[in-house]
Amino acid sequence: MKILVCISHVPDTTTKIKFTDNCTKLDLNGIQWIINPWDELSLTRALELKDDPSSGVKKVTVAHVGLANSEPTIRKALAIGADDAIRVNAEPSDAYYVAAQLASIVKNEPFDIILCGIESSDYNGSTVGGMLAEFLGYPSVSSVSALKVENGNVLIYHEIDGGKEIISVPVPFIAVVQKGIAKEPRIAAMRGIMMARTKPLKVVEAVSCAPLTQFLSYELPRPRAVCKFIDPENPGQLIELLQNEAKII
Amino acid sequence: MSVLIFLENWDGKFKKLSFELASYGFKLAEMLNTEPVAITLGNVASDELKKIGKYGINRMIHIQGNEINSFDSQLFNSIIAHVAEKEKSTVIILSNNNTGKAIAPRLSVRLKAGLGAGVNNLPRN
Repeated sequence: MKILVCISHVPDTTTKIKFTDNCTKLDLNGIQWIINPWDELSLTRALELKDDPSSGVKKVTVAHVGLANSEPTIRKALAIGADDAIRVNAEPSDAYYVAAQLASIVKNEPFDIILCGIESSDYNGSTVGGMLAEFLGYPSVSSVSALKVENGNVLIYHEIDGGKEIISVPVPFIAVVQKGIAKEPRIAAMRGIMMARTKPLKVVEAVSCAPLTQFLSYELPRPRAVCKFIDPENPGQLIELLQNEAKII
Repeated sequence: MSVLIFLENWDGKFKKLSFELASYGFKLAEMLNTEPVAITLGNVASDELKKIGKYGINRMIHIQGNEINSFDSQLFNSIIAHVAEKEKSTVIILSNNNTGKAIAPRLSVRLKAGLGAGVNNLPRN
């Protein structure tokens, strides 16, 4: 059984986001890039399954759509334990475009289980996994919080509104994974870092596909307003502020 | 031309989220000078369906069948895509919950339609 883990290259979650060019582009200065946290957890679970001989998982590949500057992030995935990697050499312009490129990888080299993080921590779209499933005509399960292989059957724990369900899915399929899939991301050991340098990283050119959406501009969230404290003995002041300042009553 | 609003139901009942979507769809259709049409799948009593009318939706497509009593993203996607094509929908609205996140990306690819995720306001123009 082969697992493909789709990974995004995203700014570190502590990055102070700034924009340039009249708020039309992300300011890339000083950004530290990481594997998208949800994808890192997916990779960890894929490697846990590979470590268990009874799962039948023999190989874990990572796939990424991005330019050459994302290769350190891909090498990190290899250092954590992925066997090989495929990079589609293209700017990931929108989710539709990324999903089309990932679908092209799978059409050339089939995988049994494809894991996608529920969302990337940059755009938070939650869309690539579902789009990829539709491009490939594969079944997909969203909000997957656990994935097990028992006697050759894949069992998925799927979050639903107000509960959880356990389902069995025939391969190939796509799992869009979320919290719970692995306890903590696996950390690359020194041996893994050394080995990652020589692991195969195949670069393929993008297939022709026009994006369906375009980012016109970005806005930062409004800063939080200063909190005003009102003396509990003075409810009149509260009413006055709600009427004249907040204008909500 | 229409704005199609997918209204999920929970054991035949709508929730606050459903009414918010209906209200959003109505306002968007008004902006686009077109008709809002709602769709729901599964067993929903007529009294429950009528509640959606309070939010400006005058037409509801209600599809029932044993196959759709449990959620299947591929099947739900096919049904909604078929209705969207028939209704010549230019916008389809889904919730940003687990169900919406499972269907919307598939619909985007099936209909080759751009997808805006996590929308929290009406379009500016």
